[in-house]
Amino acid sequence: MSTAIPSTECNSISSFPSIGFGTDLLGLKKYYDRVVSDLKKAETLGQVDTVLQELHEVYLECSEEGWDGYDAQSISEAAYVEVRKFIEYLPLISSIPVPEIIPEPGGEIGLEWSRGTRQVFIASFAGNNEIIYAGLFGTNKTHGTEYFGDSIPSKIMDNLKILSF
Amino acid sequence: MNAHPTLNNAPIAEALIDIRVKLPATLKVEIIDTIYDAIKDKYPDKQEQKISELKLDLRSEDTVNSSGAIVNGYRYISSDKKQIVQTRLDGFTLSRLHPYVKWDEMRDEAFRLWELYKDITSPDSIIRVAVRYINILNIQLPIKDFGDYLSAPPIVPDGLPQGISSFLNRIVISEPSIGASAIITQALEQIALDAAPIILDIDAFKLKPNGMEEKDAWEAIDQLRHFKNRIFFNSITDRLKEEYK
Repeated sequence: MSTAIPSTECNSISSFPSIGFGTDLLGLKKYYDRVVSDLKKAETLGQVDTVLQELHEVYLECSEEGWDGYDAQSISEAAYVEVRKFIEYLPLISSIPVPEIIPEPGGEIGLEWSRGTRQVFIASFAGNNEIIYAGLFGTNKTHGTEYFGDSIPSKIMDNLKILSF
Repeated sequence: MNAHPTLNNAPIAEALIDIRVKLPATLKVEIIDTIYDAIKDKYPDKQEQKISELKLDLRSEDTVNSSGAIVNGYRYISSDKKQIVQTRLDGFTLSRLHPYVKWDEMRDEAFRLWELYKDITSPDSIIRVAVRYINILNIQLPIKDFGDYLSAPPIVPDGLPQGISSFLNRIVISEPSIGASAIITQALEQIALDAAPIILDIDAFKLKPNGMEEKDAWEAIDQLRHFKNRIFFNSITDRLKEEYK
């Protein structure tokens, strides 16, 4: 008899622990990724695909220094990979709005979720396993830094849930 | 014959009819977009559908180069955003989002759009047809036993803690009588405060790598719908069926 228990971390089913190098493990990861990819082919479960496409376009557009017409640093591949992972780890079923991709002059990539001007949450990724975030929810403000490994930190998810429909 | 009960509150989040084809190699993707003129009244919002393309260059030290995204088809979205048509170089898909309409209505619309797609692209062959239904079983907490709701619940070995916060289970079954298969996926990603949104994804399909006749393809789609229904009603318990009646 199995029962349901809540979890505070967002352990997305898209997340397959990537520690390990054996050929069997890599084969299993490939298979797992394909299963999840098949699942996401539906409109309902694949909402993040459009965001991933936009992310790829932003990465290509901003991969050289001075992309903003001034002296912006190029978006690093590490930041791109990290944001990609974060987006893929977002829950398949969710009422959280899709984020907007914002390249930052320091070479980081920002994700912005908003519902009007007073409900905004921004997370910034530099490719160093850290998420720097700031949020404005009406008159309340929040900010901080969270470690980002194989799941979306619960603090980030708690903030995103405030923006749920 | 329909032996299954009618569910007035069926948990369908999305229903799809999908047809994969082999198109003439010379067909340009822009040609597919000419369908827009015929459907823009009902599907006014158009988007390009892109895939990432990787090029292998064995002569250079950097053996893999990303060459960006290329357009492989289009998505057309209805005014109410409840219906989405995809027309791609590898096929055609109609998605109906919640709230679900009757099967006949969806099938007729898929057939109408398919005719347009077919006239524009002249497919060499139809390779695969599928009927896919994604159900979100929002089960109210507390759940004492997943077996109260799912006929094939996730199993944790005896002697281990029985609390589950997430699971993903995928099986592929065959139905030789109609030459079809189905991918059945049950997944729970995270449990909200008051409910567990379990995904029950049923993708019933028929694959004919050498191609199938158009008439046979549409007959198969009807058969796949019945196969999908059998899977759904055998995947949930009577208790859950009662909740959806």
